[in-house]
Amino acid sequence: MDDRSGDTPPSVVTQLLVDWSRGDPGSLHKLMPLVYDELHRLADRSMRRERGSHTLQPTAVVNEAFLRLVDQRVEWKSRAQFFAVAAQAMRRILVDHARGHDAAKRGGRATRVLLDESLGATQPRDVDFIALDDALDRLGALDETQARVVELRFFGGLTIEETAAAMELSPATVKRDWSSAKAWLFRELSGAPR
Amino acid sequence: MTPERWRRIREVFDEASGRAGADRVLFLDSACAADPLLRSEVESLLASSEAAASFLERPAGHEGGDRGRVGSYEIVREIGHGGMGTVYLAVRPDEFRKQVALKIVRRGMDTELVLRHFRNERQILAALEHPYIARFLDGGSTDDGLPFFVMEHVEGDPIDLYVVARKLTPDGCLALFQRVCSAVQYAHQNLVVHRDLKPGNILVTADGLPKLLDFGIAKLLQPEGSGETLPLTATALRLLTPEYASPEQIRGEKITTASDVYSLGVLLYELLTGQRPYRLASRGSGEIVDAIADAVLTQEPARPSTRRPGIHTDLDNIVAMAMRKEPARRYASVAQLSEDIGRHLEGLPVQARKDTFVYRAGKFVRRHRGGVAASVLVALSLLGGIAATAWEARVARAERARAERRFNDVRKLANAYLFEFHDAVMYLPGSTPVRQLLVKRALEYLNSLAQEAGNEPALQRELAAAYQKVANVQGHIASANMGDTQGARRSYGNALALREALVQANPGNREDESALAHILGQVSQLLDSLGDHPGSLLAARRSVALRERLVGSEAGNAELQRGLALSLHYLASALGSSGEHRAALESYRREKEVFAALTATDPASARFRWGLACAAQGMGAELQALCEPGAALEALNEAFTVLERLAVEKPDHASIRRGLGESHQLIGECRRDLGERDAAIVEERKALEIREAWSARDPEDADGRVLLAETRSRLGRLLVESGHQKDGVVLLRQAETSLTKESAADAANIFPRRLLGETRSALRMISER
Repeated sequence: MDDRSGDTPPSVVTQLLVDWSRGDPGSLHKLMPLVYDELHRLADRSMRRERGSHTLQPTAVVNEAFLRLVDQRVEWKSRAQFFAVAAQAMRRILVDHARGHDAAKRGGRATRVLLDESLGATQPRDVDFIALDDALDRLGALDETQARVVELRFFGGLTIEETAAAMELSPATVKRDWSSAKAWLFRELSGAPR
Repeated sequence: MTPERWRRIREVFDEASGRAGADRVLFLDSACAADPLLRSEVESLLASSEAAASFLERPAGHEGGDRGRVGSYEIVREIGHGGMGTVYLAVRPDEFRKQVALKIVRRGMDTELVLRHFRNERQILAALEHPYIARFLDGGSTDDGLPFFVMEHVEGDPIDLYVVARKLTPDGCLALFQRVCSAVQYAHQNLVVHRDLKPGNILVTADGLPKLLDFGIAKLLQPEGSGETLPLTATALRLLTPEYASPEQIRGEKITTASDVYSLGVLLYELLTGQRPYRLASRGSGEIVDAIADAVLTQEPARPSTRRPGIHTDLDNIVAMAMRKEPARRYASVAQLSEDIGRHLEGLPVQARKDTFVYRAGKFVRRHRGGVAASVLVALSLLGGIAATAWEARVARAERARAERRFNDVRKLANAYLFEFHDAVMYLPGSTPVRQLLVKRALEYLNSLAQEAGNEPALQRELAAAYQKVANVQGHIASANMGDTQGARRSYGNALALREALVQANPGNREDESALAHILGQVSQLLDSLGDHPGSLLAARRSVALRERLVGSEAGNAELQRGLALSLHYLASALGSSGEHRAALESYRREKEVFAALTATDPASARFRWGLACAAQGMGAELQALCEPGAALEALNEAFTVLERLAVEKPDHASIRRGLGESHQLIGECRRDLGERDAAIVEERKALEIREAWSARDPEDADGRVLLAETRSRLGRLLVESGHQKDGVVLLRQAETSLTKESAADAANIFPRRLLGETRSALRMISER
């Protein structure tokens, strides 16, 4: 029977992931735009085509990108790294989008919002992506690891255990990082007094 | 704030979070004695932490809040969520108010792929009825179309915690474990591999009964070689903790029942020893996952008896045998594992011995189900159709006697209807009703002949051809049809059954095989339009495989090569519908290569050039779906050039007109993706013109009407986007009206419904602005 899936050569993305896990830092720079483009495309398409539904699940999009881009036979480590990169890309997409919307509103061009390009339908009411993005940058300056944990958990939709796997940390460490990062971000975003 | 300062704050915060009340105050007193600012910082964070309990806990884009009511169930609270669905505790508001677990696809996750996984799990669960498997109770969809299902709600503890909490003896563990085995064995007998057996998925109730949960990534065993038609492994959707994963799972290899045997081995190890099998030298924070994966692949775990005193060496051997790295050297089934434990419990010698395994691979060979099983699956997809068709045996006895005398005359007539008259008008515009009449009449004759003729192969072939033609007129998706998709399903089912029987009865007959490949391709397209993508892929793959063999048997036969190209087209189209655009593109590319080679040998042949155009058009459509509008445009322009030329040669050919309309439509979409909105409008207007003219000439062609509505909808949206709101809305409304009618008339067909959804949401967004 026709089953060629078993011997297709690994995709570009898979190769880059493998290179990276072997210690080639340059592969990350090549990887990021590929993943970003694919996610952007999927996000856009899921708005545009999927059954007329105009919602977007970032985690679903990340998963779908994984299925599309990465040879499913890659090692655990490469899988984890893919999700790490994808979460970062998803953050950029959502924040860029939110910024775009904001700009449109401020510029008085709201009536020209294109029918099929609005990603914003699923923004949780209570999280301001732009403010969160800024706060995350500030947190990153204090502790890069914590900012990445938030990225993976919130934008990548990973669980504590999955985040631990992706960052090569123990789940207990991730839990601690997550807990104080959340407290700090919440305080930043809610403008609570120090 | 500096990073150093933040680190200090975190240290105190982490420690303080773990304490409460006076304990916390005392700790802060001492930790911040010399640093009041540190204290206020930490206290502010602690307060924030309490307020932030649910902050960011739902990943971006996840729905907030409970859903209230799903079907007739009241949602109580969320009890968990996975990659695709959320599980709620719910009650049915009748007098019993029984608690159930309700699993629902998350909003926005309802992509084709996820829905497939979800339906897969629902189907698997519904088929399993076992006291130790959480029972399937009900299934349905919400008002807005999200599928859900309801399971028995299990209250209990994960099996590892249960064993510790109840201080179970080794023998007690073994008895409980055997129950788990019986559930897994039962699933295997129903061709289901669980693939994610771990303590968290096995709850033990207060009565000590295990319940297997979460068949979310379970898999139906597939016949050998039928390809990955069922969902891509959902394992890939998540990062699993590798500790229970078998070596073949970690390597991403084929997963069979042996993988469950392995996971059960790990589980048994843990139940007996209270420890996971792989002990890692350094438990530093880094590289744990790597180390585990590496250990699973290379290390032999320590024997359980060395981990905990009092464990019999029989059990060492049993665990080792279940956990062998090579699937073929494990127990051949879960039942054998369980039986061996039984032998141990009864004091009999066990089968598992160190280094005395003579379990040959042969013992492990899966029952081989080749092409026959694949064909059964396809036939099953059509079963409804076959059963619903009754032979119209209304030929009275006297008539039959007369018919017998005129047998050959009638047969000749039927064939004339079918092959001469029908084919003469087939591609003429407006011919749909005539074709149907001709085909129907011929079918009546042939049916009556079939009553008398028994199993004569020649007559069966004619009958199969007749059914196929009827089906094409009823609902062949890529040509003018009557919009009767269900009717087409029945007729294709009849034709397929006849063709399968012919191939079985006449092995090696290339004409029969060719015809089977042909009908499989058409069945693939039909299943596609019914939304049955796995069935569609299966049929297309079989069609390609048959044709590849045929081409191999006689290299250089142009007809056989053209057949292969057509099958590749069906496969590409099925792949595209399943969202596998890269694979679809590749298949179209192969198709195009074949047609290009054929055209080179016979440049005058319209059929080969037509094939070339179709393949290029398919590539264009896939490239567009892959968001490569530039490359898409190139392919589409190539198709367009060929089509334009063909249209000059054959101005009234239905397929060519359709192809041209499609061409403009797709080029328009690419232009739009490239931001060239004006050019896009020009193309869509041309598509509209062609499709309007077509529909006016053949108003009976349901597919033509749907295509017209598609263009109206697309152009309408484009116009609105470009500021021509009034004109756009007019088109959108026209599309809406016509699609409402079409989806009601042919409810089985997913295309008009999908288009209607798109059109309505566009209108909704306009009215909301």
